[in-house]
Amino acid sequence: MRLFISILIACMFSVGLQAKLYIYIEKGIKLPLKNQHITLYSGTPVDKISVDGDMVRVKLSGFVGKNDKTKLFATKNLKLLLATAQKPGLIKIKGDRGALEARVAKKFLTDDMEEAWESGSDLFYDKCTKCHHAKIVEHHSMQDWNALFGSMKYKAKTTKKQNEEILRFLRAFAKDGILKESD
Amino acid sequence: MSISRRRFLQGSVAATAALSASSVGATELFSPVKKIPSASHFGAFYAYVQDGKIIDIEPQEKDGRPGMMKALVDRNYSNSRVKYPYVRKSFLEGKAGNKALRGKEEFVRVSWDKAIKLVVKKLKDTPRDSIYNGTTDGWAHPGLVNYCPTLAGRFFNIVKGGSVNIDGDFSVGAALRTNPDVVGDIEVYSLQTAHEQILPNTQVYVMWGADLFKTNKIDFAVANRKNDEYFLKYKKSGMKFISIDPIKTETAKMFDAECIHIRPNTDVALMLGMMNYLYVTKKYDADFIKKYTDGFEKFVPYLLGKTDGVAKTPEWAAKITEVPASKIKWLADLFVSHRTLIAGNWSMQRAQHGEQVQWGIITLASMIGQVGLPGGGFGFSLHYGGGGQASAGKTGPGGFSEGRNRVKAIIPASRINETLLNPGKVIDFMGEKLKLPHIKLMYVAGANSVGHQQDINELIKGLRKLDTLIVQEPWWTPTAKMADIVLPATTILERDDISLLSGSYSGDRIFAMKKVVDTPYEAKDDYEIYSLLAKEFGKKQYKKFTDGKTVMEHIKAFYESSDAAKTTSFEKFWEQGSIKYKIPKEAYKYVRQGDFRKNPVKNPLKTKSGKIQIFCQKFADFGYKDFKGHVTWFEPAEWLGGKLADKYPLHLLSPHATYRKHSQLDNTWIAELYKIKGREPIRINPKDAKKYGISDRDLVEVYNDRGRVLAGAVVTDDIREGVVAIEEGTWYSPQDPMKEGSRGNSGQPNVLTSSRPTSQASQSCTANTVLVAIKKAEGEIVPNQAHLMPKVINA
Repeated sequence: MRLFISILIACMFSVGLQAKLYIYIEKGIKLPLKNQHITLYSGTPVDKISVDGDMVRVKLSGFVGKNDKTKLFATKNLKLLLATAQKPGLIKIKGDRGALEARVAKKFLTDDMEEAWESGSDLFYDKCTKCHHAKIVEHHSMQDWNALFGSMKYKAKTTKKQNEEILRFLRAFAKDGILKESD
Repeated sequence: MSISRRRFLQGSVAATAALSASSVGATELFSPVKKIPSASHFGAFYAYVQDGKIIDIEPQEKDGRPGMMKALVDRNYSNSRVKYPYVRKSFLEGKAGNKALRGKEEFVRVSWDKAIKLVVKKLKDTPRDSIYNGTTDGWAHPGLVNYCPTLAGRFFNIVKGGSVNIDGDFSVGAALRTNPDVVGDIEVYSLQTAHEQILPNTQVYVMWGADLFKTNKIDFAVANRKNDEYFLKYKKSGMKFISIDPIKTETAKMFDAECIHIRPNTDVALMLGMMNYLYVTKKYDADFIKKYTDGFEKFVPYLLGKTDGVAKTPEWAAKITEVPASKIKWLADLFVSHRTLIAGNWSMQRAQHGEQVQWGIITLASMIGQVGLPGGGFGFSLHYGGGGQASAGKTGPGGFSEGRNRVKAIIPASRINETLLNPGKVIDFMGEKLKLPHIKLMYVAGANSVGHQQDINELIKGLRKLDTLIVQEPWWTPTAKMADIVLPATTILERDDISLLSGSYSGDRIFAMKKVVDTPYEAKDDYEIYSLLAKEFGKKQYKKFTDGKTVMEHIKAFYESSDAAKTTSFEKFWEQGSIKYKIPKEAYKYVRQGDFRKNPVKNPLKTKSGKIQIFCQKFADFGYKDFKGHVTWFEPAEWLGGKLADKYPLHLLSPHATYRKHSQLDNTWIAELYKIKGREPIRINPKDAKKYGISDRDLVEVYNDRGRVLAGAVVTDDIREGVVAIEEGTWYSPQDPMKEGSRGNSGQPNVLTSSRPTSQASQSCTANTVLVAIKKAEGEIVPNQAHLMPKVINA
């Protein structure tokens, strides 16, 4: 059913009508763009620059660390990764800020934030509500979630990959994250 | 002479035992006895059933303490069972002003169809932001299919898109909001250092309020008794035991511990006194502080009195704690010169300023410098769920998920009463402002709010403001008696289920929780009740709630998501009744914070600095008067050193029950073994008893400005002077239900406790910050009716 809805949304998707888009990956959290020497991460918000057939030119903005100029993060605390570059210079840097342009196939973009984060969200609400109510994600900071999820993951018996995906979702929607869950 | 039902049951148990030992072929004379495996929070057991009735329960494994589980039989056949669906009379009639009659009037028996339709109408009429899901915790039973907290959350999230929940919990609310920022982990529910590391390494074992033997009897999952075996080894190990506790606990006696009978609520002062001494004498581990902690330099000025003019010396601490300064120094010297493990507890943080307590232990343990060493440091869960047992590390059965709750309003656990009485009020909460929601409907399943919530008289005023109160329960608990609609649920003995991975920390067992007998009443399984309700909301909701599966299909699916299914089929597991995982050898080497100790750069804690936060800027930035950036002594509103002690000179503690799990089993024969004249015992020191003219087994009235209760005096040297203790969990029962604030007739201590929060920060519960006075009971004494069903019409 979910696949059907995803296909439907993908078919209906008209990039030209939307400004804010999100990287959408059905499985996993990484989207390697080998020819461009960059990897984008699921759910990352991007701005559309132009459309060329099935490809969309997008721009990502964020923050970079002092010692590593190949990673672009969503916030100053460098906890939510947006993209990594395999070559130096791909991320344009000004102070602690960075920006990156990439060409992404339409099928890896969505204007539906919930769809972009659905996998991590589903995992969190599935794995972390078997013994207790889920905490409201935006009530806790990224730092809080790091400790809270770190404490409970051995009880949830989640895999490493699931941990990555859940934490990514929690950080994005945390009090100091970049997105807000809808009511 | 008539024989009471309980005596008959007890007699049946004895008769069964005699028959099994007999060589006579009794099967020719009597119906066959079926042996059925099942499990509970009290342990795994076999139920013996004859002619459709349970005649006995025996533990599945070697179990030196099976007493409580035996009482499950009596509980099943208790007169306090909710046998049919009921609706409170004036609520059913829709009379104006009927809310005020909650807990005061009779119930009318109705059909299931009518009850379900009534519940659904109320739920449909109430916005989700005004529905309080009062099914707050998971202690009713360890079964996954009928696990009420998840079922309730799943139901509300599916049919309404969510409901209002509490924040934190009643057990460890303050610690949950403090420890993650201090040590990068909640700690209270985390795997503890293995017994195998404690036994050969620990030289001094400090039970700081922890009563290991008592509280390990039960488990969040299915209890095992392995810790009892380890405790025997502890006793023989040569470890020195120190018990810092106003009460001489069962465990302190068992280990011949040196008891430090501290004044309640002053533990942080004792810790500060020890830390000041260690700092001034330079006996603390400066290397550990430097390498593994952050912010010590911001704490030291406070310790030395440079920020507030009060040096936290042992002499200062002695005045507050009534532990002599020489003893405080001796303790500090002992701890720092031996491998010392501090086993903290949870009850100390269920007090005003409770956020300070575990942080204080962490800070003290850091100065001692043994955190992360085998048998050293601290542990906040050694008293719980088989803490110290090595973990199998396997995956257990799955379970239902609640899914997403779209309601973002929450109620901190201590603020339930206030929410009901002052909706819309804005309070401080973890550095932010929180608006309390306007609750109109409360739905409680398998939990006893009029029992675990502090200040019951205040709570009842709040409950009488609700539009609707729905309770789903097997028994007429005090909460059920306050309800408008009561839905009868089956007991764990009347339905099939599968257990959580058990015990909590060893995680090495899964149990089939087989239905033992049919319910003799109209009770339905919790899962079925929610399914019926979901059906009324539509086919889609029903399908989503049930996943289109039967109960047995769910049980099978849950089992098949476990590691056990890789080697043993579901059919075989169900037939044999349990499955056991092997504990890997490596697990016995586990040391809490061991990796951090070995390499703090490679294995940082999940704190801001990656180290232990002795100072936390985030907390300091809250700017609160009662919660600062480092461990701080705050004088509680009620304590023996305060002014209120002139009026109420005794500090009341309400520790965990010895023969109950919270309120469970209060309605069984086991309670008759310890109750005094039908009331909960209150422990009192002989000097206090003499002062107030009280003799052992006297019925006494315990009172303060919040209420009065009757209790039965137990005069004992096991409790320090100035302190009394009533164990939590007995069923509340007012002497005269028609009167507001009537004297509690059962000894329920939460009539006396305060809903005052721990602080502006976590707003957690403070059941252990209570002053009371005591006198011999006067006036009319009527029998305790806590376990009687209310008056019903058409019964």
